[in-house]
Amino acid sequence: MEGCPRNRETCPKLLDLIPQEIKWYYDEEKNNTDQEKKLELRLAPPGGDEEDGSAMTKKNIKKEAEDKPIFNFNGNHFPSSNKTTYAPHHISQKRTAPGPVVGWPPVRSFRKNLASSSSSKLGNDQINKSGDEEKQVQPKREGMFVKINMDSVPIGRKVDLNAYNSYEQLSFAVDKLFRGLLAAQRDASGGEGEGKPIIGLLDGKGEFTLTYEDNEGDKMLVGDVPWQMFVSSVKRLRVIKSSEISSALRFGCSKQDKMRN
Amino acid sequence: MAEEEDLSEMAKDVERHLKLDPPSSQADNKSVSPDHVLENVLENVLKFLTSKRDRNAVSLVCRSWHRVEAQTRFDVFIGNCYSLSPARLTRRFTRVKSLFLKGKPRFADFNLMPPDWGAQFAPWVAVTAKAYPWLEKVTLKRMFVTDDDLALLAASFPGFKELVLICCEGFGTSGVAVVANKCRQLKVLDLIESEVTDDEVDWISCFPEGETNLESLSFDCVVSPINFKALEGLVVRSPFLKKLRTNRFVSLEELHLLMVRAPQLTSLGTGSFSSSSSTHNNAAQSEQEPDYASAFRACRSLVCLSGFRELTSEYLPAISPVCANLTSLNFSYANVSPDVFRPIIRNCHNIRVFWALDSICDEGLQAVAETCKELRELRIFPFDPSEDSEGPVSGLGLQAISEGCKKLESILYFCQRMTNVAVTAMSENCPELTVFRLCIMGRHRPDHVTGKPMDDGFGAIVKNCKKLTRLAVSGLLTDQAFSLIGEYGKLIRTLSVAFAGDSDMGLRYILEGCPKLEKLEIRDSPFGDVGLRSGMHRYNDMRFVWMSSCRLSRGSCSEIARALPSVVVEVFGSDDDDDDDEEDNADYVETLYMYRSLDGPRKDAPKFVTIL
Repeated sequence: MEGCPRNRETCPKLLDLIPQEIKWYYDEEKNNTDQEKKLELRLAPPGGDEEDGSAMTKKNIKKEAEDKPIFNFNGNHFPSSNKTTYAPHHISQKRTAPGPVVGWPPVRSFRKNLASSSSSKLGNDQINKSGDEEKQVQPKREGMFVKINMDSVPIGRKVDLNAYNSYEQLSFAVDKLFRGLLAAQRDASGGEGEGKPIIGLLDGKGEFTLTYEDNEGDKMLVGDVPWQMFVSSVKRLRVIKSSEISSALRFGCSKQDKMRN
Repeated sequence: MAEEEDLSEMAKDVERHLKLDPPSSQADNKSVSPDHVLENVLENVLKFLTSKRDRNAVSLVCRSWHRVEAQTRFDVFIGNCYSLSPARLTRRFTRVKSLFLKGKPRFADFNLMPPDWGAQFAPWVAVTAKAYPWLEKVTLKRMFVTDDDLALLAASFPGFKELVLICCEGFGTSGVAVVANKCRQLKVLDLIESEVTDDEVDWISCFPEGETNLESLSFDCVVSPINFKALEGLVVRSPFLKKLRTNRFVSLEELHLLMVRAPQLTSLGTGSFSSSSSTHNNAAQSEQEPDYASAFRACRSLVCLSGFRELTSEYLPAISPVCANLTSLNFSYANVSPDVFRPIIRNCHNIRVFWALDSICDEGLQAVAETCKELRELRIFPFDPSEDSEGPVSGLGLQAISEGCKKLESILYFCQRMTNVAVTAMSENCPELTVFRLCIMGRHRPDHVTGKPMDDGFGAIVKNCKKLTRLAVSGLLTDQAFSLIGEYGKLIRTLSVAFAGDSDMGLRYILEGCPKLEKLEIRDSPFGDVGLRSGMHRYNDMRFVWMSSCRLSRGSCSEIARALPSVVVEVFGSDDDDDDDEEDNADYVETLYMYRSLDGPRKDAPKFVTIL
């Protein structure tokens, strides 16, 4: 108690974000205690102090008789905290950064990241699964993975559209993804090795054509809209036989149709 | 059927004892026979006694009754794993089939306790493995469990049926895999709010082939993906499965498949409840969305729903067909707005347990109050658990609930602001309350309308709620609040205090006033040595006392330790890495955790813990 300096220069100070006039239950000298409290936004009638001020003087006197609360900086075992500790002989001059207190509010850690990971937003299909203590298994925010299937190839793949800047790059990637698979499908008796390159996906001239389903469920040919617009609306890709273009696009269901079924 | 067997058993026992000396008898053999008949009668009667309080009372009657009670206690509950040694457990109780062990105190959940503090399951599994080969059920809460422990468990108990791990840590999916694989009689595997490390083991595939006995499988806290195909296969070959709680890596499409396979489910943890394009969609060729509503409709026995970890609101109406049957609904991971919430809750007339986030707002609570007349337990968690957030729920919601849900027994309510009027209203409207836990997240926050402390509100709770056994207080509170708690809280067994009170008197009021107090947890309150000393007469009868960041000195804690040899007094702090202050801080106690124990101080305390 004696060793605890009342001098403001030696005691740690925090920013006064709320003007001094708005005091609650503590007087001027209790400022060190109240730095924390002053940072809190208060809701109350303006005259609310007075009555309580008088009721609280007894409390204040008691508080003064005891020690000034000291901020503690916690070391290894705990994350850094901002606790006000009331210590009889504690002379710590260490400073804490203003901020949350350890373990307060008393909510378990797995309930804490709900605000950062977007949960239910209407129509939000972009699922952000980041959470400090949870492993990120879903694609990171930077990648934009969509499923891509190819006619006559049973195995679907995924492409990260953010890795490309143009339809050509995408087309090239599709070729790389499926060339081998397609060859394997077609030529069970082995032989041709790598297989033929898959070309002409965008102009209708190749054996296959690239199509996509957008966020409204409509099926469209890839390449008609500007690249960014495509990226923002594509939900999945499909490589179809060029001979089947008209039927594939005509019989595509919209989401509304699906709901009705 | 059972009675007849018991009677004939008894008859056989009588015969045997008249002819031979009973091998287990330690008393003198001459007058043993009538006593033994009596003991056998007692044994057969006590088999039906299940309440642990009753059993504890029975065991105090006399030595003979103590012995018989011990032989017929099959379910043992140990509220503090350090209150006795494993050896003592096995010496007294010889036929244990089910063990419930609790480890760390609750404040450990909020990072107030350093890791590696203790509460290891290892010594318990080692000892019980030898003593109770017929052990069937283990429930652990806040214990440190390793994969090796789980392996030993799986290897030691051939008839093992139920494993429930609540708020545990120290193990991973590899330990879970061993249990899944080796415990062939397994009925229940419930991992609840536990930390399970991802060892990248496909534990679901480790369940043995063929039909399983699984009745309950909960892994919603497991934060690693699972092999869905294996899960589907497991569900198909588990005809007794009633409870299935999946984790957020199960998409809506996958959930649909599971529901179709298991329409007999009574409890379903719905996983993410959102549709994801990256999931392995069996219906890849058809572009149609599964009919979720009809899958729910087919689950006619469904009474408990949880999950919704990444809820996509547009799919929520799919649960409508089961709403009327639901008795338990957990939305506490779903950020639903009132508009989305209200149409759903309007159908849930039979809800008894409801957990949600405060994003449903006061309006959502209003809707609950209007519809859920059978509500017994309500928990409202903060979507944004900080002190400065907006606070979508308030006294209005609380009061509405109190007016609509008169049968309420238990409430946990997080909010930013509260009024004494609302709390008082609840005390008057809900006489059945046994648990009242109000967390006003802003520390020292007064009644936001009157500016007064929250003394009156909590005072009303202890005065009016005559059945109250558990209380957690918050907001600005003076010693007056504690005076009222001491005066009226005569049945309170658990009390949580944080950032409250003015002086030692506050603590004195509680310790002198609440005769049934068993668990006391206090943090950041101005209670010191005088207050602590005033409870000397109580500590032998309490399970534990936790005081952190209060005003305690080592001297008085040592005093307690000296005066009460059957109370273990642990102190630990956080400044041990700062040498300069060691002398100055030597007397200050950051955290005091004391508990009664039959076997004295534990041997496994880490270095930073001092046992006085």
